[in-house]
Amino acid sequence: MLPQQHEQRQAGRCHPLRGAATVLLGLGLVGSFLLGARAAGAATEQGRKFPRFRLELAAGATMLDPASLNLLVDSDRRFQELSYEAYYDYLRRNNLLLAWSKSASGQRQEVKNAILPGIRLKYYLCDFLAVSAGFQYLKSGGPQDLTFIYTRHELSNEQYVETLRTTPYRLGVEAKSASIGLHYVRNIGRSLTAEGFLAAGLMWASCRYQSSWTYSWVIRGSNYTWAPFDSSGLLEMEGSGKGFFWEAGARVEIPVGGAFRAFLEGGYARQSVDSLSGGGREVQGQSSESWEGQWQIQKETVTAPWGTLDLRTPSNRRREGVETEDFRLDLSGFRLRLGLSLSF
Amino acid sequence: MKRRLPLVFFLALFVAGLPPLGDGSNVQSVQNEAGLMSLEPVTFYLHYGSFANRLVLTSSQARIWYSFQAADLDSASTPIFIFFNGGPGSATSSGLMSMCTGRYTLDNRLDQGGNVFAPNSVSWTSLGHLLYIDAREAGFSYNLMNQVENEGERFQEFNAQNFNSLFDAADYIRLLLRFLRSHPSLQARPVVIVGESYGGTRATAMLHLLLNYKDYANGKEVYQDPALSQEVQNHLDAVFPEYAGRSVPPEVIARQFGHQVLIQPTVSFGYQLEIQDEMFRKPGSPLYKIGEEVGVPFDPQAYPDVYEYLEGVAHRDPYIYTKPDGWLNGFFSNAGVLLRTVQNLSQVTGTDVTSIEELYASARRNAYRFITASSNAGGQPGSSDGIIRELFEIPAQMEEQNVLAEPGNMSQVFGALQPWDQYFLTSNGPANWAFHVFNIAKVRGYDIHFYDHRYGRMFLKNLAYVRTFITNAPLDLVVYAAALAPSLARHTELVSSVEQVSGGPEARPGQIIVHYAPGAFSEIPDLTSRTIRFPVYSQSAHAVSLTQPLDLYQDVRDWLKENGLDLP
Repeated sequence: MLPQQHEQRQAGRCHPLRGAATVLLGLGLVGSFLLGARAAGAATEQGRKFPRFRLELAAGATMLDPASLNLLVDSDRRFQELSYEAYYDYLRRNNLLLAWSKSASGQRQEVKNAILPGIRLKYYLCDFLAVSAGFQYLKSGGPQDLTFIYTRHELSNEQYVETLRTTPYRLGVEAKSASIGLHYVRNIGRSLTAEGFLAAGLMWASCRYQSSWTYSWVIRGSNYTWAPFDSSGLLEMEGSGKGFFWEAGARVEIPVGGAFRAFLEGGYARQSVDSLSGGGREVQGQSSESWEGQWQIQKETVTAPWGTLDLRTPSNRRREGVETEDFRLDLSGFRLRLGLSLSF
Repeated sequence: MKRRLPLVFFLALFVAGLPPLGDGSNVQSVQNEAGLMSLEPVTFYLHYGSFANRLVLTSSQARIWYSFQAADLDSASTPIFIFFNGGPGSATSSGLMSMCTGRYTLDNRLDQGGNVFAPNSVSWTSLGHLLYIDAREAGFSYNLMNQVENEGERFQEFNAQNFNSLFDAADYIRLLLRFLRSHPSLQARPVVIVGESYGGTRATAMLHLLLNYKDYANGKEVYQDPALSQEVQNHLDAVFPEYAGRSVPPEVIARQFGHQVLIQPTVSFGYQLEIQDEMFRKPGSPLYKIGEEVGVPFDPQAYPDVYEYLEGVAHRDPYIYTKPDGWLNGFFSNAGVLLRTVQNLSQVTGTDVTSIEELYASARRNAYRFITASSNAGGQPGSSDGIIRELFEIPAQMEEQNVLAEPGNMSQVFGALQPWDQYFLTSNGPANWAFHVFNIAKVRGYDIHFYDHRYGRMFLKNLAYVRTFITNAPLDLVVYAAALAPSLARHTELVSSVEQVSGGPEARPGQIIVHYAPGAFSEIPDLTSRTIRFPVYSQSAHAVSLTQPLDLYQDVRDWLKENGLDLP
């Protein structure tokens, strides 16, 4: 046993609290604080000193599936398929087009993971129990560049080239959470410590959608190229809100020298925001509009002569007469972090 | 504003010498007017149900020509007739305005196109006030743009943001409502819509936009124009104050916009074309008769396009097949030539047109009418291949040589225009092609082209509220009247049958009776049938007002009286 652990063991003559990690988190936290106060008092009485504090820095990643938000990617992709691929197929079936082809670079990416840096201050109530206060940051979604080029071979033997370029296309989330936690620690080897923890707190989350696009239609004939139409536009929407956060996890840690220990931590966090609101802006050609609103999922049915499509599109732009569903920014998911702690 | 004093003096004398507008008993609250009404850029959008993915377009600023001829007699119930021709892209000024409806008309006794304006003995001013409007870029109307000297930019102007059938109808509604608003004594008058040829589609779209104006801002219709919907609401608030601020039902709106007179119209043109082509190919059709007359039998197999035979082989005018090719267009062209003389234009409009500031070259430096001078040459829409070649490969030297120098004296009076501008166009080719070919809405699959069946459905819905008169000129093979009833019958989702009735007590009898399918329009539960007046003009060309002016005048007058209008 390492001297430090020994000291902790000496200091840790507190009430048996082996089952505390299994009780409900709120009760556990309250109980642990009461217990911690008593344990701290006992340690002081015995005049023994040991480093009760740990400062931990960690970075990692989390798997996410904010399904409501990811519907934006789904809507964009399916609408494009209907209005280009399915439309051209329809024209070709009806002998209104000789052929068509597509080339693409880039794909619209859903939010599926995020980086996860965090900081945590732990206080050891005894050698196997600690409480903590932590702050975490979560961020996902970088800019994407998309280019789709559709070439239509018209009956007139001309080519209509439609180019749809989106740069950036961005779907992102960001979250900050502050939590308090309860940690149960066990030695599982000569130098390895295992820990289980529960944490809960508040989360402030935001999401962002941005699509900045250009469209051009070019006619290519035998010896001429003309552009009858081009346009550009931007649609961006932001939303923010707050919700509750809890996390359960486990970790192993190992000393790396001096007061430093390294740890690998995994867990599952449940965190979501049920109500987000924020601003939006759309520019299309010469028209521009901005708004503030609450995020909702808007249900739309696209009915074109060549097909129909039921879309559920998240938006914070309020529209009369549109059926809506609640929007929830769910950032729950499994997570893995690597960190370093400093005892003092 | 530039002034030409001698000319003004002449015109003042001239206008003073015009016949009196009434017999002294009339309430002459309004005067003749002509001018260019400004339309601001309008943002509208097209969609198939996805708001986020809609096609947003913004039109260019336009100056739209209108000519208003006050009624001979005015009373509180005197109606206003709004006239327009078709094309799309054709001028009303050289069409209905010059063809036996206003106080002055082309002299239609002169074959191959009258070459002088003469007093009209059957002026519709005896029925009401007349408002003639040239469509965007047709006639005297012109658009404005930045970078007007840039050919590529001008090319892009001729596209769906300025030219599509629904926006075109919205233009007309804006102009009509603004004209009415600026003439308070006329604001609540009954309006009779008079459209010729493609004007039938325009009338159909206008009435549908008016009667269902809320649906053009709430996402229900493919075309969304919230500013227009609000403008209609404002108008209705003023005319029907009992509904102020509320959605006004179509049957109430039809109290003002409840009559349409359609001269050889396209209303369900996609079906009309299909059916008339089938009819032309059947033995006994006019094509076979023409074949016998010219000694070159019509072979339907040899001519996928019957007009190729008609014009290229038989050399007949498709607008009146008993006449040689080009006969009717001769009148339009002659009118276009005559109207470019300031004195003639002042005579026909009953105004001093030199006072119209926007006609002067100095006021229209950013104006354009076509892409290159050569781009307004004729051509058949369809493939853009030939069109582009015509638009751009015969190009700039023609402008330099000023081959399109306008007849008349407008350049002397109003100043010389840029090569891409022109005072008057009988028909604007690039504007027409913009509806058909260079149309982003069409390329992106929005079915708003006027061949689309939506216009037939719209017509049938309008018909539930709007009393309708349609001419039946059997010599016209461009809009073949015999195909009209069957084309409406093809809308089997809305109608159970359509009858064409030829008998009746009138001098020129004829009716089309539309029997609606049960539940055709859920919001009109009791709709069973409607009757269209469909008189025969057996000697008439496409332009019935030109070829049988007295008959048309009398039939319209009698029909309007029978259908609730208080005419003199």
